[in-house]
Amino acid sequence: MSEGHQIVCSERMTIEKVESFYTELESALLEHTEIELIAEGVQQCDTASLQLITHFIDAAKQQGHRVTWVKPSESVLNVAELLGLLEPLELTQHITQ
Amino acid sequence: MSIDLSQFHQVFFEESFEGLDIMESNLLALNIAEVDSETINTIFRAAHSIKGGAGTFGFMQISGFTHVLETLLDEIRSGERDIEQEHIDMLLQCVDCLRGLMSDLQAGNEPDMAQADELKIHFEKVLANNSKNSTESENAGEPCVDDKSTSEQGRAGWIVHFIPCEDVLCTGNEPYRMFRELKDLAEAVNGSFEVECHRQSLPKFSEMHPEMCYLSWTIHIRADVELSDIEEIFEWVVDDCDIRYEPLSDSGSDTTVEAVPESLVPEGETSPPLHNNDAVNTDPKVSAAAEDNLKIDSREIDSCEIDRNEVKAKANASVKVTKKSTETTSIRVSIDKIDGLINMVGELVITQSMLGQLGQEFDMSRIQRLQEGLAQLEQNTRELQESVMKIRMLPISFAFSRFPRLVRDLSKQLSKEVDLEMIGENTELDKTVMEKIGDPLVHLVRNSLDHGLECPEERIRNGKTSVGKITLNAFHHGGSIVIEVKDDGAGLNKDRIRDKALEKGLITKDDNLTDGQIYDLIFQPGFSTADVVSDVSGRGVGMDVVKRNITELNGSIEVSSIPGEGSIFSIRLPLTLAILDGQLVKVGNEIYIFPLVSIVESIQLEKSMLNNITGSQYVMQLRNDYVPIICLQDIFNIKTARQDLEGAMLVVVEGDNGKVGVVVDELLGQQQVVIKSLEKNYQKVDSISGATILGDGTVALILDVSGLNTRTSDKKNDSHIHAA
Repeated sequence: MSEGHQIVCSERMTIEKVESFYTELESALLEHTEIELIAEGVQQCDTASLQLITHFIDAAKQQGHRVTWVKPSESVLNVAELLGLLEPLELTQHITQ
Repeated sequence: MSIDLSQFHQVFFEESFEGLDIMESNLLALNIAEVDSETINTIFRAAHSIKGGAGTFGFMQISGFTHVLETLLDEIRSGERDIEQEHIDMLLQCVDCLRGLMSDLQAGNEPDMAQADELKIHFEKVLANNSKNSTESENAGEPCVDDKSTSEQGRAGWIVHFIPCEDVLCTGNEPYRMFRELKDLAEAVNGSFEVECHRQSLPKFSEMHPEMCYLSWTIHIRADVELSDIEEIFEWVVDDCDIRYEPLSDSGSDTTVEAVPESLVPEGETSPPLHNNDAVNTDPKVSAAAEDNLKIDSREIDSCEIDRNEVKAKANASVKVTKKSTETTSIRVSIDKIDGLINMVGELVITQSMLGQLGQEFDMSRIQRLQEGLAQLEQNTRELQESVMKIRMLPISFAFSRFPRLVRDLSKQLSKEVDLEMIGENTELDKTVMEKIGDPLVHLVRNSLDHGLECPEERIRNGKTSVGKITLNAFHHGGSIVIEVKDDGAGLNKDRIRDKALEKGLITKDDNLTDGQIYDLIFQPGFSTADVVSDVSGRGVGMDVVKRNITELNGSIEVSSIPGEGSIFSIRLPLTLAILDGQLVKVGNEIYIFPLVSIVESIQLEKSMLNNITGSQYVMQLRNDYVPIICLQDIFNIKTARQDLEGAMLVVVEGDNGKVGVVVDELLGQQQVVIKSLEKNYQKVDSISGATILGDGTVALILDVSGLNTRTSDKKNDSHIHAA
């Protein structure tokens, strides 16, 4: 059962949509202390989007907020791994052994 | 704006297939006793372009595999390694393997990497063997190099420090994609890849511009890879980003890395003594090849956001669609042909404008002008049609190019010495015809090599040279193209063919056959005079298929042979499949078209010719032959006034299953017709191969002679026509 504010990541989480995604995350940061990133439907993501989420998680932590991933997709995990962002994005526990 | 790179996939595949052809022909031309460096360079450039293109479009299976063979080629061209016959054989196998992988990808299927993996292991073993220079040095007991040259450094791997420019993401240059290529590069030689991301430059969250790139990276490539290969991956961003390379030593590499983050702070003052990308000489040919490989204007790239993820996703999506059609083929046309076409259209527009003006101010005094205008329009249209048809014409060298390799491999397999001569390679043929004639030609050449040419000892015994000769000759003749496959072997053995045909019951002892008729027997299904069934041929499967394929192209095949001197298989094909020479016939109020090539003769039926065999099925005695009779009016349910066969007009046609007499009401003229597919525009209809639009705008159906032929075996109980 989810408790936090849910942000459903877009199927195409790429640079064309990163501006609107930024606005969404920014307002979530102002309004909610617990945020869930629903990422199971993400089929495409890129450096811009993962950079944004990395920064969002850092900012949330600094403010004492909690951000959790819900079912990050293979695409998210693969690109995060290639960019060396698994740890900053707190995705290591989602990697299947 | 974003560019969908998948739109370039087809071009990539076409260019890659061409590249493989170039590799193959140059590998076959290589003489290991006297290696031509330009030939090696050409092979290398082709492999390099394929690798680069595959990487760009995300076909990592291809780029990873090509990388290994490219490494071997690079060693050969740089003189580090002498080329051996084994290398040529392996590279030729790679060409075949890459063709298969690429065909799979083109069809949207997941490529089978089994053969590629096997070859890769083989290559790695060869590469693991000391190259010429190092062996020589070792033999001399001297150290290889005194100083750390570029080629010496980085054997343990490389550290790449990558500080992108802020707008790198906006230009479509995705860091993760470059890293994926680095990873593949490392893993191709069983190395490893690690990436460390630095986030010091990130501003406050509220102040960030999400499209800007604030991250930088340190990448450890623990693999024996060339620096030039790494540089190539970053070549799109090298001008705008800070990229530094550092050789990774076997010991203490980690300590070196720890010092790096400081230097990665954008405002960092000092940098460790790293390899600047500018300091390393890259091969200009390599860069040029890479540039050539991606024929997209760099300005386009810069001004657009390329969503490579989208491409990858689409590629993945297409993989899921099994057996996707690959028939979205394209054709390359010379600019001269296009210019000619534009000129024709220009002429047409002028004529149309002139006629339009004439129509507005027309009176009977200007009738002659109108007639001239219409004649001009007709000429323009005809010229335009010819120009358009020329666009589809390609030199037959496209079909011939596979034969040097085929002959080389087969002659090796059969221990025969063969010289292949190709004549008339620039003879042009319709692309579709060319694609369909490839397999029959392969079969004929294999057959000539296996059965036609004798083994060297036998040739010498027969007073010939030990080297047999196969000649492929293409030329235009009477509006058709003729392709000959000629060998100087033993020739066809008439007696043996006749005996075999008797044994199989294809002929009787009383049959008095001409040489041509005897030779034609080899096209019967299951016919083979070979004593031994080999991998190459001899199962009696094939020559019938050859003939059927050629007939389907509205072509014909003839055989001539002289015992002890050789055989010639002559294929005659129409220049195009888009236009057909047809005989128009009338049945009731309908007009049908017979392909002229299938008509044997037309006669008026007499009662004495007719024989009733069963129910309402009739056959006609035509000289020594009995020909079944069918009526188009019955097949297509057409009402006509004719009630009996006596006096009816009969068109005797010959298809796959022999001759058949087709009753029609009236023979009209002969004319060239443009073939339209009924299947594409409506649905497949039995006994109809297509349709055309006649001069008066009505649609006429083109009859499928082979389809009609199969109807003769059906019992027609509802026939309306009876012998008088």
